Amino acid sequence: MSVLRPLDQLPSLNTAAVLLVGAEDALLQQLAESMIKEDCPSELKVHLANSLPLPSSGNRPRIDLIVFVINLHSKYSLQNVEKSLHHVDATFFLGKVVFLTTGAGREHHCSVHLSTVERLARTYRSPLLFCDLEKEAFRAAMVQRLVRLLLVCAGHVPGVSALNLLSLLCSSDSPTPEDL
Amino acid sequence: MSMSQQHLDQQDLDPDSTTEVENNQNAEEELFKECEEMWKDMEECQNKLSLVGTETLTDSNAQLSLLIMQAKCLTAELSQWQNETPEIIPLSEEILVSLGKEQFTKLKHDLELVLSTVQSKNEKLKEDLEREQQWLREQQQIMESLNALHNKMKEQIVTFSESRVISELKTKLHDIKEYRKKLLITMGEFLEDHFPLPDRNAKKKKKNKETTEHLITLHEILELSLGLGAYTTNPLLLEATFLFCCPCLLFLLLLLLSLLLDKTEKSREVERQTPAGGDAELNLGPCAW
Repeated sequence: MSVLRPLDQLPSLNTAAVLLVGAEDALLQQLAESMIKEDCPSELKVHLANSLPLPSSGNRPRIDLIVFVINLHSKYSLQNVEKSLHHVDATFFLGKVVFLTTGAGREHHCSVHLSTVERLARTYRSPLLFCDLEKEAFRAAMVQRLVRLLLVCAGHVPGVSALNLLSLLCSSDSPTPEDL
Repeated sequence: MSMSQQHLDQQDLDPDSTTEVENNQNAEEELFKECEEMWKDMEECQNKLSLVGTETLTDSNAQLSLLIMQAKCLTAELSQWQNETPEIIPLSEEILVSLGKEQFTKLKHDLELVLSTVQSKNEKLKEDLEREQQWLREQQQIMESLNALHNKMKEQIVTFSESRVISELKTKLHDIKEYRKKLLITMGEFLEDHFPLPDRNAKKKKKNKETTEHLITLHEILELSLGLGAYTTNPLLLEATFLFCCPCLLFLLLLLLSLLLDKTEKSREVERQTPAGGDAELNLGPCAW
């Protein structure tokens, strides 16, 4: 199917799958490797994609979490993500989508304004995370966060659902004058 | 749906822990049955879900529709939580023991973490202490050396006393005066030897018309040249001005002496040439000033 749906299949026992979508292969590869190295009680499956829709090669497990990786240094990555967002089912945005922004540290290289990304995250009611993916230490910390998010979204954490977590993460949002 | 899935996952773990004890097959079988039922429920839910159509969002309608959807889902979850009654897991010994073991291992892990952090903090503090002690030692050394320097410099201080300065100046003045006297005496002797004072009665030596010229002493010459007259009879003032004019006076004296030498040599030559006395007029004018 061209539109990615959550809960489209029965889950495989004790596994959680995450989909990383981004324009830059190197970043995605590094992130994926770090995530696999992370030890967690459940089995992790990491899928990489440059853009959606995914090629319809079957045997894909159901995706529990989508991470959209935006590099602030290139406008193309932002456009790529925006295009891919149209191929995601609406029910995914109930806590199973996360925007990960990288490259905010070097401001003079940024061609995408921070407010653009913030507006995107606010429009789609999803959490926005910042990380400098090229630094080992920051990447490790971000990977830990992402793994915890993934476990919650896959339902492996008793008592917490993805929507609960979302309302916790986004509770600090207040409507801006533009939105009102 | 996610609730039942979570429950299923939890119960999936439980069979692993109870398989260690083979005795209690009943509990196992019961759990197995529960799992099977849950899986059937899940399959039914999945079928229902697959019938639901997909919906994609555009930027314009995303926020509103998502907010509505999130609100609906949250209320559904809330009602589910409220309706649910907590299930009591069968309190068999094995389950309790395994639960207890789990809790103890967790506690041990946490305590180990705490221990390691406290130990690392201790080490850091020890390092800091050593560094600070080293710094203190260095500062004390600096202090000691500065004190030694200070003591050394104290000894070199000579107290300034005005009276000593005055007495030093007085001795200097006395020495200079003595020296000046000595110089004057030697100069007087020199002048006597080479230029004896003419007797006021021996006028015959002078064949000059200007014998009526006043022969004045050098002292009087200097007095006139310095513009000093009888109106300054204060010996101290005279002496002071004389002392202060010493360099120029010396120069004048030297000039005088050289002139005198010239003239007297010439006069002696003339005398030798004209021994019988001459009508040569000796222009001793400039000398007799």
